[in-house]
Amino acid sequence: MRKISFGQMVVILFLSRIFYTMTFIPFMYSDVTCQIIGFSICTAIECLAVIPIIVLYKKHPDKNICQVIYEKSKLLGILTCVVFALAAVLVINRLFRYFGYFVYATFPDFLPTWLVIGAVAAVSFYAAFQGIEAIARSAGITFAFFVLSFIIVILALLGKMSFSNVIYDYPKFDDISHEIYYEMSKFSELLLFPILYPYVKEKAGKSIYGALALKLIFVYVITAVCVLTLGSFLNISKFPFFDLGTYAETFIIERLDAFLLPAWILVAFIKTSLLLLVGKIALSTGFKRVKSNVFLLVLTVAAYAVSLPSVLQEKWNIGVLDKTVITIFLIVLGVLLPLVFCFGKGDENEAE
Amino acid sequence: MKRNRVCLKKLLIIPVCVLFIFSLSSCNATGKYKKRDIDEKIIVHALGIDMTKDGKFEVTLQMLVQQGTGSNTPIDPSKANSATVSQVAETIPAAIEQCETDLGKKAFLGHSELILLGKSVTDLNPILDYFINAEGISLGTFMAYTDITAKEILNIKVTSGTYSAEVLKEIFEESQKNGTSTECELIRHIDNIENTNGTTVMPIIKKIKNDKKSSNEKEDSSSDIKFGETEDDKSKNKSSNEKVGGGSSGSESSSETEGGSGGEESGSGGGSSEEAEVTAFYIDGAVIVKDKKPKSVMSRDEVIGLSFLNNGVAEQTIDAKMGDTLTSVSAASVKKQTGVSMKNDRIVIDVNLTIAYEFNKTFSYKEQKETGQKAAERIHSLCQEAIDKALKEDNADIFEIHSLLNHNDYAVYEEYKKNPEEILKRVDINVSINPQI
Amino acid sequence: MEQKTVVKVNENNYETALISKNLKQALLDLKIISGKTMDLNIMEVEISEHKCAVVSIEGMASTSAMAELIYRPLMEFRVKGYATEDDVFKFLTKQSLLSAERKILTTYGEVFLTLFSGFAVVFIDGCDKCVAYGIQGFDKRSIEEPTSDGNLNGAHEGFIETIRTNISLIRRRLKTPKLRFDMQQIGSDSKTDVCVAYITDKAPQGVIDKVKENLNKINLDTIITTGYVEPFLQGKHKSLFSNVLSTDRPDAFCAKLNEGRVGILVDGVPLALICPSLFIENFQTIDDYVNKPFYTTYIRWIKYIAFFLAIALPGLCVAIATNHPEILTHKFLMNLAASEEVTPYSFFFEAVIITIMYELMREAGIRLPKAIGGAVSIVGALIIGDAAVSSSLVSAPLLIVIGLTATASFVIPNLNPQTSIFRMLFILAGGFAGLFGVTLCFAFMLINISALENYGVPYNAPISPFTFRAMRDVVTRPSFLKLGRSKTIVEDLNGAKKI
Repeated sequence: MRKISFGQMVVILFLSRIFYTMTFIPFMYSDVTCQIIGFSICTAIECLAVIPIIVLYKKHPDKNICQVIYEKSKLLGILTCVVFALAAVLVINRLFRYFGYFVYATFPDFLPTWLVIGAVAAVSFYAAFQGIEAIARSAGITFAFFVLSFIIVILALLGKMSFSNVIYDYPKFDDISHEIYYEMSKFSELLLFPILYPYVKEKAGKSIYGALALKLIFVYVITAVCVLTLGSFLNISKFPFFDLGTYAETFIIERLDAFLLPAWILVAFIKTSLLLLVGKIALSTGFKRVKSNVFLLVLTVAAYAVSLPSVLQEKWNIGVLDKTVITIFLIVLGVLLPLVFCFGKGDENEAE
Repeated sequence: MKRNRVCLKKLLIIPVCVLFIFSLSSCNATGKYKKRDIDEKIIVHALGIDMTKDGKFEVTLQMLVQQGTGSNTPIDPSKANSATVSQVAETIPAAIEQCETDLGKKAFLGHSELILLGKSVTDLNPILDYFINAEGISLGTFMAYTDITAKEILNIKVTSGTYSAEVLKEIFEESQKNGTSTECELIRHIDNIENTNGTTVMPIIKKIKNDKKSSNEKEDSSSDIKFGETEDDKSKNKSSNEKVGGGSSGSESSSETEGGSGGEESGSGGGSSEEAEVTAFYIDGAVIVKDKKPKSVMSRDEVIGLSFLNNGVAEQTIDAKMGDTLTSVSAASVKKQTGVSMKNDRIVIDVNLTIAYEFNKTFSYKEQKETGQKAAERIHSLCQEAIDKALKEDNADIFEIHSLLNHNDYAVYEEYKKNPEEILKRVDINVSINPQI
Repeated sequence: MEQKTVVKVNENNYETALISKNLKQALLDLKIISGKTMDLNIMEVEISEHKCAVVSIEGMASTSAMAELIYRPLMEFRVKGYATEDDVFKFLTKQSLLSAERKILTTYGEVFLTLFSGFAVVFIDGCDKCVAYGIQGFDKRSIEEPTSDGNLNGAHEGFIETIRTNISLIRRRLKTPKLRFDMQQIGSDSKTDVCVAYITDKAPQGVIDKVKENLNKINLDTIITTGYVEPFLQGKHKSLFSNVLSTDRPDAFCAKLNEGRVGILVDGVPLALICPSLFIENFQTIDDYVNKPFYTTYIRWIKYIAFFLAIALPGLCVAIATNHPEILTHKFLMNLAASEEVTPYSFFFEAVIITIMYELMREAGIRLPKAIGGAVSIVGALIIGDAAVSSSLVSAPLLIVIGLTATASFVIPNLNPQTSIFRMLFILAGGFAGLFGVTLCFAFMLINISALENYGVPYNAPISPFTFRAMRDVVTRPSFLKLGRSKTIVEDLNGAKKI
């Protein structure tokens, strides 16, 4: 069962989160000060929110949350498994819409968006089919590539950064609270971690904190670079991190935006494959008689089908209802359920 | 049973793969997603925007048209490898689309290095709106004004460089180093406009006339240029036109494609005789844009002063008069320190410039000190000219005052956001130069 | 009274059939089983007036060795009186040393196995056993320089087709009793000798057992090359890459055995297999451990770049030129556009055609006799090179790209099949879908490699899962002073499992 290392778990959780930093539209509602404050507060809340899962992990290190609930109550277990799968599909839908919008906005005549999403879904299906180890190893290489392209962009922009471009505003409570809510809705690690922690060889509980710390550092650095370089252009930019690439130039590569594109695609593919895998594991826990790969196929097709109408009609925005539903799913599955089931007797081989 | 499942899997995989390849191929072959090869695109080096009398946009695209000597040498750098195409339309995208239709190719703006605004451009709003969202435009594209029409500048065939926009870009870069041009990247303009409610400063590019009477004579100071006037307005004032040296009167020109390797222009108006005489461009002064409209023009010296104040000078040669002799001193390194304080309801910004000098003659220490002092006085006067022009006369925030207020006195910055005009009237900038030998 | 059913020996039931005591019957049985094949030599002889026969296969046993080592001693053997079959058998098995290898055979299966391995078999009338002597004399190739993995400073000996010679090449280099060779016959018809080599205290026992188990699962009737054996060693995962390394160098083979790997030698093939192997080992050669570390590090990075160029360069060029020309610098783009202006086909199509032509040329170069191989390269250079560019059929930048790709692919010959396939896939992906297609193709390749794991070791270790200590031999080539102090074997890699 123990297949991936602590470092690999940190990397896959980190990449899952960093996808939003690359494609989200950050400054439509508030300025950078509120963004950063809201993000920091949300990260602190997330650190507290994962405590029930970690307690659950320590009691049942070899069983994921679905297995724990299934053993206590079969009906509730099956319901949990189905809800996990549904939540995974919703998060993938959001991912596809964000990614589709990114491709549509930056490379409009490139390929039809439905084909782009379909190709990502197909490759993610193949990755999830190969299992957690293949995804974790690929994530390691993707992480290295992401960091390398990140460093290259920063080095190319060093001469263009200036403190005079930094204009901050006093934070407003409404904007900060909105940011906290928005950030929380992106915390899909609450879906991944309760299912994947049995696969971690050691220090699984610390891996989520490692991922949060890494996320914090990267977002701070990305935001700092964006602010120092783009200045108030951030207020009107749709994809600030991508615009950094548009602005950066080296003597070999004229513009680094298309150079950043592979990093984004790889991150999207890793995240999609993780979510598909989580859905597959959840459903195969609840319905043991059916082959797990059937669930994988069903989930992939379902996720693609759910996002197809929005993609074809070019409705990219995730509405408030969608965000609320996802946030509720995340809190119920990632916080409340572990909180309820973390009490009680643990397994004999409790984690240290 | 297992064999049947394997067969079924293969039966499913094959049609799915075929369908996928078919979708890709059909997307690539037809419609909006048809893949265009590199030679099926118009590689635009520079865009020029002029406005006609009736408020339409005349867009000029300078594009690659290679002049080679065979398949082994497709580009001959001794020849001008560019041509222009112009179109007039209600909006910029419409004009560009008409250019594309004329040439039967799609415009590729990803490599455009320069956006040139002609003298007739009065409002930057539609231009900025277009370029912020334009597909492929780099944020580092230079945006500048010209004292004639953008079309004329872009029509000029230069004898150095592979295409004229390349030469123009190099001129801008070099000018930025020595302070004769301000920062003119698109993103900096947008940033300034966002922060100051529509204020920025754009350099002016002009052409050098290689007249028979006086060789390489540059144009007079740009004080005679009136920005926002169209060609018809200009033709009413003939003497101004002669000084400015406006060329073609192509305000209502239809599609014109300028090509060929020589220096001949086939447009209407008196371009051809001037065309042969032009050898280069130069930067002279800058336009102060306020509320996204050109307001006034700064002279070359004022721009140098502005560059010193904004810490944009890498190396600038200053002439210092020592008695009867004129000595050149190179200001090699400029370090800026600013402080903001309130004195009697005035917002005082103290700017301390520490400038390291390099001398091109052998001086004694005393001579160096004296020369440095004279140079410092000269720099101080340049800075003061810039302050007097931009702040006192035009009440324009081109000295990053908003940034200084934001970092030093947030309360005043809050007031600035509500009413920038009033705040700027209360600003005094004191410049002190600290020469380092 | 039980009636014994006498089953006649034939070619279908000979393997376990016992040898007849009657010499005439035994010889008749041999002829029936072999179908009176012309290369079966039977010499009937009387050894001390006792009827015997020496059987060998034409061309397999050395006639001179047979005359000197078998016939002469046999003819000189004398006992007082009449020699019985036991006397002769005792002489052959205990009182003489006629060759270094001697076997006592009881079944016709064993007889034919030894005969076809170059042994001479002595049958004794009245004895149901026979004695086989190893006097192989079949023609074999002399030890030559390895063809696929050349080097400058290392040994210039390569494996040959004879397994026993290969074993001796290995044994000479590793003079330790811990080096073991376990021989088995695989292939129901070919009975090919396959040898499993390992060092006992270095190779994990689980891996050794697993390799032997996999070899035993081979249910083919003939084993001609290592390609027949490899799929059985690779495991179930279908990957375009192979986690079984092959080498024709005994020094490289010994180095791998020393790292705890298990080697497999196949008779008739001048290649040895090594498992488990890692992806990164395709970039390591024996020359790396001859030169100074700084130079080796530099060359290793050249190889990594070469791999990237071999696989991705044409695809990236097609993707960038067609869909993302903004990445290129101005002058590069202008030159490219100007070159493409005159060519009749799109950049993508040109890339596909040139790549196919290169593969044709490469394949032709392998198959053609050496005498006219040179003509092929001249014709290829003329057609593809100069004439194509001059007549504007192909643009010069593309030709440079493909030329560079071709040269880069020769730097890593082990990965040639994979680079050829992926190169074409990347070109197609880049042409249809730009950098997006190239990235997804790369993602597919990444997953394909990452999922590959055999004998408990992930194929792309130590890169991912990351093992810091082992990475020093990836990023650099550490000096032997450091390597001698501490070495990382595959079992110690992160992600490796004990089996």
